[in-house]
Amino acid sequence: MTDLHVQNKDTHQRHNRKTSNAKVDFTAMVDLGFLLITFFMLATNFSLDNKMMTIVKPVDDSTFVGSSISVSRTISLLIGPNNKLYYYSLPDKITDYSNIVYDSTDYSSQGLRQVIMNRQKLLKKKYGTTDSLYIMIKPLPNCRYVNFVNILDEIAITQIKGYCIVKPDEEVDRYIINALNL
Amino acid sequence: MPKVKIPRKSTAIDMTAMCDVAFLLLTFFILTTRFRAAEVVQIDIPASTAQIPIPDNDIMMFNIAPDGKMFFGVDKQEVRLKILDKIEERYQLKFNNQQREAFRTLELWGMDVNQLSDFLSKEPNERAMVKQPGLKIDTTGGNQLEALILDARKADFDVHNNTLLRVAIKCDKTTEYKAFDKLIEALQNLKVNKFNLITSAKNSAE
Repeated sequence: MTDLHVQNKDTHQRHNRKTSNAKVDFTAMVDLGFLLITFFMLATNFSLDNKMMTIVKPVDDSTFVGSSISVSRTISLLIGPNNKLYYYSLPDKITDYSNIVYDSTDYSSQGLRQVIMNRQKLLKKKYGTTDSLYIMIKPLPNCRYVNFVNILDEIAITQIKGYCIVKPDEEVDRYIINALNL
Repeated sequence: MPKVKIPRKSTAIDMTAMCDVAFLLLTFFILTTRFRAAEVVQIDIPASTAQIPIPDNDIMMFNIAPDGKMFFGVDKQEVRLKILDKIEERYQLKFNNQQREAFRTLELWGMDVNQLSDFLSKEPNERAMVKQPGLKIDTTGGNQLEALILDARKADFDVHNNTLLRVAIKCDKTTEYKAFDKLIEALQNLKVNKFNLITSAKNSAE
């Protein structure tokens, strides 16, 4: 290809015996190398960047009696459509749902993470341990899957031990869904 | 009289180093990548800080497309063949050797089990063109998804004498939660309570 063998006439005359050139022409090999690289770049993808997140759901067993957690230790995260996230915490006893306080936030580290950490701090003052917070994730059927993963991720980051994934069908959830017209 | 030497410039470039670089890069790509499976559907997975790498084998993979269509596949070919046996038995279908061979190499599929026979008789390139409708989930006439999970686990047990099959779910960012929930419900009905969500890696700092 690019390799032009310019032969020195003088030297050629002196040794008439053919001395084979010690230099190997690598041009073709380089071509082959890059061709294979191109092939591998197109036909494969990186195996390194995908990870997985394990979820363990409780065994569905009606005979199981677990320890109960008081409502005041929980925070409920209602995943709504259009990347909206609503959260609320309830006192143990509630009679009137019309004056419950709920707020919305986003999935950034300034949003959800702060909400969780604030709640955690509040409960730590009351119960003395950071493990006292229990998160209830309530995804609405029409919310996006990515938001669900975001929440699980925040839970992993803030190292919350207790959380569950439940259907938003308690009275208070229905009330909020109605109020917000989700 | 001294001869004046005119340096003769050769047009040949030493390709040795370039060759080294090329093969070094090649080795890198071979080691760090894996072959892309024939994509039935394009899925854009969400990112998370999860650190667990995806295991190389014994995976029952579910893909959920943005429109909620669900696709299924297991990684081991002998398990695939066993699953086909179970499908034959359950739905009173018959597959010939050619169809079996086609199913053995099928990475992912999603359709009504009764359409499977037609689909497998097609030529490979024709098969790639077919738009698969996704697994049939509705409960009329038995839940095919649940039956499939059960069959896959049984097939895996037949092959390995052990239930090693792990459930991995690859779901698109924009998929509605209810599609994902249907799968979870089916899994939980069969007492599969542990599953893995496949996400791309991201930095926890942000």
